[in-house]
Amino acid sequence: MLLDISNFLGRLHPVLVHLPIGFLVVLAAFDLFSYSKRFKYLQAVLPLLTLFSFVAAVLAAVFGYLLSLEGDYPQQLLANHRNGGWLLLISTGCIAVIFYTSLRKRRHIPPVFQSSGFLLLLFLTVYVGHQGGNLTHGEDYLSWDLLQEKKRPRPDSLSAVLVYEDLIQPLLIKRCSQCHRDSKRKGQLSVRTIADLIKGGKTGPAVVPGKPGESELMHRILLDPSDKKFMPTDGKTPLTKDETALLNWWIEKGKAAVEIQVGSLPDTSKIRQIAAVTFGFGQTSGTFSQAESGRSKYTDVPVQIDTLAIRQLRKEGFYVRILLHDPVLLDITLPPGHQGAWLSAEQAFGKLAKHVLWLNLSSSNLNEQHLKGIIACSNLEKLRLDKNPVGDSLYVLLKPLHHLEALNISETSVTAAGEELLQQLPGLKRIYRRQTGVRTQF
Amino acid sequence: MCDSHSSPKPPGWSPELDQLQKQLDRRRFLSRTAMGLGSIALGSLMGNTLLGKSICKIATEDASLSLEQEILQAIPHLLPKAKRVVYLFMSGGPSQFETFDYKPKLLDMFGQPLPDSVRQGQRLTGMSAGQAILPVVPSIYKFNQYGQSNTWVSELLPHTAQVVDDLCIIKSVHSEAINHDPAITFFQTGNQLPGRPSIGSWISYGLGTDNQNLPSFIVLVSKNAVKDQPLYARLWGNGFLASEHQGVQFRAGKDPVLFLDNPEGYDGEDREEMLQSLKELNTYQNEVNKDPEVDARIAQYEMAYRMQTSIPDVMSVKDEPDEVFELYGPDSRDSGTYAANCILARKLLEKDVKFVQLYHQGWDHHGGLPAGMAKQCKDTDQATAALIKDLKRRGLLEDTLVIWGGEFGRTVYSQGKLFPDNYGRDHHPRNFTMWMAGAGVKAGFSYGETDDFSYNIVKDPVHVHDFQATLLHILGIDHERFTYKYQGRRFRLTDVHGHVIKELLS
Repeated sequence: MLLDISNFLGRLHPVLVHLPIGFLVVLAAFDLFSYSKRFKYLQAVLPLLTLFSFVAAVLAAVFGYLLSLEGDYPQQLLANHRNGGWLLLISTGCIAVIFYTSLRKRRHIPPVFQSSGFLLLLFLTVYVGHQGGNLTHGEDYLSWDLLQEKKRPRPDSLSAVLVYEDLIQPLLIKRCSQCHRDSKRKGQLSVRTIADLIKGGKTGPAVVPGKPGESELMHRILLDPSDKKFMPTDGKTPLTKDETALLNWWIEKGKAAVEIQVGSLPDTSKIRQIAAVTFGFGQTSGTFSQAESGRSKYTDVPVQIDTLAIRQLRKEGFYVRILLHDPVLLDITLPPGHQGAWLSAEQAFGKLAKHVLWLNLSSSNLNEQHLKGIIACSNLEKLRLDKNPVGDSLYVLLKPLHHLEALNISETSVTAAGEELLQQLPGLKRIYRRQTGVRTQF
Repeated sequence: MCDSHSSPKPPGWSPELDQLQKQLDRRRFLSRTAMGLGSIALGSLMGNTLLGKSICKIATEDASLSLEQEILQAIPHLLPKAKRVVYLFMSGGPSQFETFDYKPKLLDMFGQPLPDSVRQGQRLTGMSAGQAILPVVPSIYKFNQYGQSNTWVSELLPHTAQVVDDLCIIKSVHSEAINHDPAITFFQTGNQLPGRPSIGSWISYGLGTDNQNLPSFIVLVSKNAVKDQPLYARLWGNGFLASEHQGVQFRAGKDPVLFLDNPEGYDGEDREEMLQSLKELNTYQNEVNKDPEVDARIAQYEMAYRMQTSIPDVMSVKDEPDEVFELYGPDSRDSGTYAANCILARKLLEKDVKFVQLYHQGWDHHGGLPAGMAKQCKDTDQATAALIKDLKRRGLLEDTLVIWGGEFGRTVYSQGKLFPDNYGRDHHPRNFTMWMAGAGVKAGFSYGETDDFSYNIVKDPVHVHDFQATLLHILGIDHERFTYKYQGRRFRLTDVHGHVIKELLS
């Protein structure tokens, strides 16, 4: 019970210290003002203020001592703060005693002495206060380095993202530096700089460039979360899959170096993905493996899709459905009888051509001349042209479409000979040519 | 409260309701003031003194954002293989013995008791648990091999046998429920207890619609079936999803969709105007209490209006040539039968309706199975096969997935007395047969094996959740990432189970 109270009072220390600080600052200010004739009368309160400062300092010191008993603070920093505190306390006490003796003996203290005394107190206050601040906020909270440090601007495009500077360092600071910072160094490790990481801690180097398997950092974050050595410890949120992948890639492929651009090294689709998600640069979501498989199969699909073109097609009455997000692949359907819409959307369609995977243009009275635009659909896999006046020259139109797998030419003017020709299309697997009930199917 | 003591109360006044209204008012007041303050702050931030104008601006910007959001959103998670589904639900639990799961060894065991080593003490329903003997009964119907795939099919399904090279037959489906309602609810919603959305509703919610004039989830129930087990509208209900995702039942006869036609004596001339005013009122209401169901209601009114013109067109089969009716069989001219529904399903799929579900009841043969199965198969076999042929020749099987199956299978032993030419079979959830065909699945393929009694699975089990996960996968949805948050929990069709059966995928 007693311990609880002392803990509780101890925690009042950070509030209570402001009382002597206030007094001491006012003391110095009054002293300064009293040099002016208008404020000379302030001299009279200085002894009393000094006494108040001393009493407040004693209280703060006692509470501070109670707080130090909790023992969660680095020894060196604590010693600095404590010693400084003692010095301030004794100095204030001394000055108070000098004041009162001189008052009693009606001896005048020369203003220079008096002022330098207060100046000393003020200096000590700033010093002890700063040490105290270091204890609660960390040494780097208010430091000279901070003033000189340049903050990296947020990258404005995916290619401007640097792996270490924009992804790894913020990650380490967010997830590790609460314990592994210069001032705390749990397990003697700090994650502030790459040199710190390579130097490592008690159990060896945290990062071995090029070798994630030998890097203690990777080892620790990949342990079973119930393992005593698992990091982050104490039930803090474990690193996500993305974060782990990012670190692993940086150590292995990036050789733990600085200033690597996302995309400058091979095998960076994962990293691009994560970077894009982190900074909100479009066209990505979903897990890597699927995105990778989509990317590896459809290599010539542009990364950016022209959304204006999609909007225009929709305005013309097309159904535009998104089949995949990375890369963006589309299923486009023209409702029957919309020849006009097809013609007026030609340009917009052209902008999307490489994204079109499935295309349905049935029953819209379109001939080969109208359909020129589909030559550009190099990724097209399924095409419906049924119930359109197209004929055998369709072959010429479709010849460049190497990925075309399924073609529907039911109720068109394509003849049996034309169909035979179409079957020679390299990728074509299924062709549907039903003429009023007769079925041809391969 | 003081005046409520003195003044006379209106009829129907109750203290609870009064209290509720007061609370609601207070809550609404608070939320509205908070929003009001927020929009004032926003207005001043945007440097626009006209509050209404600034809000309008935000709204239009929202609308233009949606395309980017659509491109960024997660669904489809993977490249879809199918864009439509037709699910032929054989309600009642069709026997696997008389259809696809050929068990010739049973012929020598006619009438012998089911060995305990096979049953392994598994539960039976209350209907046959008390039977003194569980006599093994083979199929009375013969099997033959068909197609390039040499698949065994019963003589009851001569038409299905013709398209067997298009089927992906799964003989090892198993369920957890042993009775109709929980089993069918489990199949449709992923949970044995009612209240979750049906598969079609999930898909409508996840993938939206490809035809704005028709609902994306349509249900057809055969009129020519023995209705020994009930079907409930909640089987195609939207559960906790917004109500525009519920399945819409199309009926045979004068009113295909109930309450869609204009009332008698009303020419409908000012219908559009009336709906417009109604929409304005609903929109106003929606601005006040932000209830998503108001959005759903607005969407449904608009859909109903569009359906007034689209439904007569889609329901009419008078443009279908005779050859089509011949393909689907004699019943197909009688609207509301299974065969007619199959034609209708094909028409709906042609119009890019996303999920069409047919129900055909009457497969629950506890007794008189030989005659019952013969009738059921006769009513459905030709039309089912015709649907596949018709979709295929039109090129629609290219991106349509067809599913056939019931909620469970039937037992190897006869329920009730066993005669040489008559027997019954009880419910059996431990293994049964389903098939899929078309987009995304292997054709001419059989998967999973059962023991000689078709009582236990010996290879490649497919749980109901596995089936659901695979179905979603074919539509481009990762079942584990497809969730809807309701009452603080993220729900999935497959709950916390299910594996995509990769072997089934083409």
